[in-house]
Amino acid sequence: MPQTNIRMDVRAIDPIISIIDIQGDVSAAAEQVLTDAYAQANAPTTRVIILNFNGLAYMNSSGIGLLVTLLVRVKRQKQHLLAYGLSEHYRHIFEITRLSDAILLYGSEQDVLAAARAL
Amino acid sequence: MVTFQVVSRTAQLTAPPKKRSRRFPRKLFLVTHVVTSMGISALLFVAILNITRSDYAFILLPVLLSVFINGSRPYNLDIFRSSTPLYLLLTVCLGVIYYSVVTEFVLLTHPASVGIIYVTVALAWAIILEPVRAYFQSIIERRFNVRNREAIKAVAAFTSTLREEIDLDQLRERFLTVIQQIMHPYSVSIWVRATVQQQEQSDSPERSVIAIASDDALIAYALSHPGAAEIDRLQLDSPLLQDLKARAVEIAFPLTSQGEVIGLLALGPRLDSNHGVFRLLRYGVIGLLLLGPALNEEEYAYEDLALLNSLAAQVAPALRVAQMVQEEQQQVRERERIEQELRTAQAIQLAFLPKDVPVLPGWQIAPYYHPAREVGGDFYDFLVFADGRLGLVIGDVTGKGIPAALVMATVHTMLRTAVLEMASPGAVLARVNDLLSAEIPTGMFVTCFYVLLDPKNGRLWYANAGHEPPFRQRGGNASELWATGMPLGMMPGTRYDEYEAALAPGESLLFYSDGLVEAHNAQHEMFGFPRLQALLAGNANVASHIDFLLAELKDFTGAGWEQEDDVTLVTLQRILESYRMNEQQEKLHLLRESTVASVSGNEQQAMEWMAEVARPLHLSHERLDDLKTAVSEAVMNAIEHGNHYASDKEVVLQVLASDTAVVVRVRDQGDGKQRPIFDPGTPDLEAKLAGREASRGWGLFLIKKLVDELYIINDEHSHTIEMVMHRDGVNTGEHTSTQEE
Repeated sequence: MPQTNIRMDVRAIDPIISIIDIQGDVSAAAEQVLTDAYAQANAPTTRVIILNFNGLAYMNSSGIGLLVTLLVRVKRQKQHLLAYGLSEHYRHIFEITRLSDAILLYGSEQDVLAAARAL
Repeated sequence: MVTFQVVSRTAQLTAPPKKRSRRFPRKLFLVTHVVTSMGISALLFVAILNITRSDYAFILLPVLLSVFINGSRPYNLDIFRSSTPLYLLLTVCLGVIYYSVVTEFVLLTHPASVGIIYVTVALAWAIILEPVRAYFQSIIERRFNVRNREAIKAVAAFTSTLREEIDLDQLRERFLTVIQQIMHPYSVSIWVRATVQQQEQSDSPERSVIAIASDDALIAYALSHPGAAEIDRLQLDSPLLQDLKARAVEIAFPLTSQGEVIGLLALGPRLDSNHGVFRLLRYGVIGLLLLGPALNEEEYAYEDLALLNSLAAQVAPALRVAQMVQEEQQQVRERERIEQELRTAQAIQLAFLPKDVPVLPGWQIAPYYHPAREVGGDFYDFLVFADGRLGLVIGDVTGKGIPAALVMATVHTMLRTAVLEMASPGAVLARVNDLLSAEIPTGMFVTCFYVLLDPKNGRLWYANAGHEPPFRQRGGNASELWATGMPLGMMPGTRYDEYEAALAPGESLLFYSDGLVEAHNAQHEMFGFPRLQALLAGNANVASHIDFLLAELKDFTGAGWEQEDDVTLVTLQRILESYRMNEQQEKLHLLRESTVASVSGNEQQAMEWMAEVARPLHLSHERLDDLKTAVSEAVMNAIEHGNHYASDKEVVLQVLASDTAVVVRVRDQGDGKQRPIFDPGTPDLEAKLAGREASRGWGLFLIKKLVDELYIINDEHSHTIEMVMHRDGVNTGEHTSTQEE
């Protein structure tokens, strides 16, 4: 089994916005943790899910695949997926993979919350 | 046709008994014999009477009569020795009574007669009364069972062990022996249905093989008339019958078992064996005693035939059992012989196939050879020249087994000898053809395709001696590398045209033998050239053409396919040039090499290792991050898709550097079954989000985007991902190349 070096905490900012704080590695091993975190964040009133990558240590293509899966679920719930805290390298990867087109990236929590409330 | 193995025994005589007719000539002979004997007896009697002048001379008359009628056949003293006193007493009494009655009748009817009239009357009474005497004698014989005493003993001894005898040869010999003992034939032969092996081993003069039509009239007669058949009496339209008559066979016994004629016992003329009493008996039964002109011309008595009938009824099943045992033993031996021959042929074949495959930079050569159960004579060879050129030969010898393997070995040696003197494929084939034509067995020949390759530039010179031309694969196209010529060994002096071509990077040749294209499936369809060509054209990017074609062949033939012929495949591929192959290759040097176990998560370990190794190279922070992620992705790919998370398999990492580039190679170990890695192109995010594609599948795409050049090298056993990062910090743009080795 893949080793898990991941932790995700969910913060409900308000009934509409939830933030998932990611600590560690986003790889195939993070699948269940991410699923659980989204389940926790996904309240009936939740309209925006925000991923906090400030604690991201490592992300690989499997992790990108998990984000795509999460994105599919979020879209089904008519929700929005936003992110912030990505390093330059992973921003580059988000751009390469065009994930940045589907997950809007912001530099700080303040910026992303402002954008979320404006949706 | 029904084939019989015939085992015969013939008495050791200077000449065989005369063939005699059974009807009128026998009676004529009998009468002549009797009359002559009577005449001689009468003359002697008259002479004795004149000399002695005594009436007691008449006493001698019956004695003389018996002596001359019996001729050279003395009484069988063995009979007397083996008989009981009572039997001897009765026999003597009967003789005395016979003598007395004859004498009394003579005296009563012609008391005063003298001379020739007296003699004639005496002889007449003797003849008239002999059947009566013989009749009573036969009663005595039957009562004491004298005649068959020895025969019955022999038969009893034979039949008592009959059930234990399962050796056909032994049984047959013992049967012939007992027949000789009880029947005393001049010749006796036993015909038993022959196996194929017995038919092939029919060179023994005592064990000939005779084939007769299965619908021969005599066979039908034998089935419908069990028991002895007297050959001379039969009138059938039967070639077998005519043959038996020509062989002087008198009695034929069909040996039948379960409604099938499994053999035939043929007896020739009977030899006399001093059975005097027997002869007398026979006179009473079949009336032949007086007609037997010679001791070796007796007929068989009814008792003989009855005994034989009984014997045959017991022997036939025993023969059948022994025959089945022998057939089984022969089959076992034949199987062992064939297996040994197959092993020998395969050993010869394999001994002459190359042990190693030449390693040529920029080229990938892969052979495959799998012999059929019965080796078919396929071969291939690699001939390495001092100037770096490579000769590649593939061929097929007609025929199978050891002969084909031996010819293959001969051709192999001739080819290797010829290339010492010349390199030109046409000249080599011509030389081998001339040498081979003088030595190859009639009806055999060898097909052969010879290619001479200059690996530096991909130029090919080739000639063909009747072999299937190789297929040349270029992208999505497959065409034959056409050349024609007579097979080797067919016609001395044949010239072979030489052709020239060039293989570009990425192109390949597939050499093959007819075992592939002539394979049949359960529906009797042939794999065929068109199928092979279409498969090659439609699957240019497979990692291994050999594995791919073998998988296709397996799918085509289905489970349980018995390989009909050797299957030989050789691929010659000019691989695409990777970074290591280009002009900068000489400037690259290996910085570090390491391995990681195929455990998920170790890609991060590789990533850190990469960072450490790359530190002296002074890559920018961004480019180093890109390279680290690319290496991580490549290692993860190797762990998952190459080594399938087998923790005992390693992923090999190499970092090479030149003044202008850093090259990282990541190679898995594979399992020989892995699918090739291809450039997947750009993932379609919309399709993934819409659920039309899996969410995964980003790895190679990421690598391609993160490094300056990407090469994917698929070979027979592993995948190598080669990533190039330029040190000037300039990404020259996307460059990806996939190649199969």
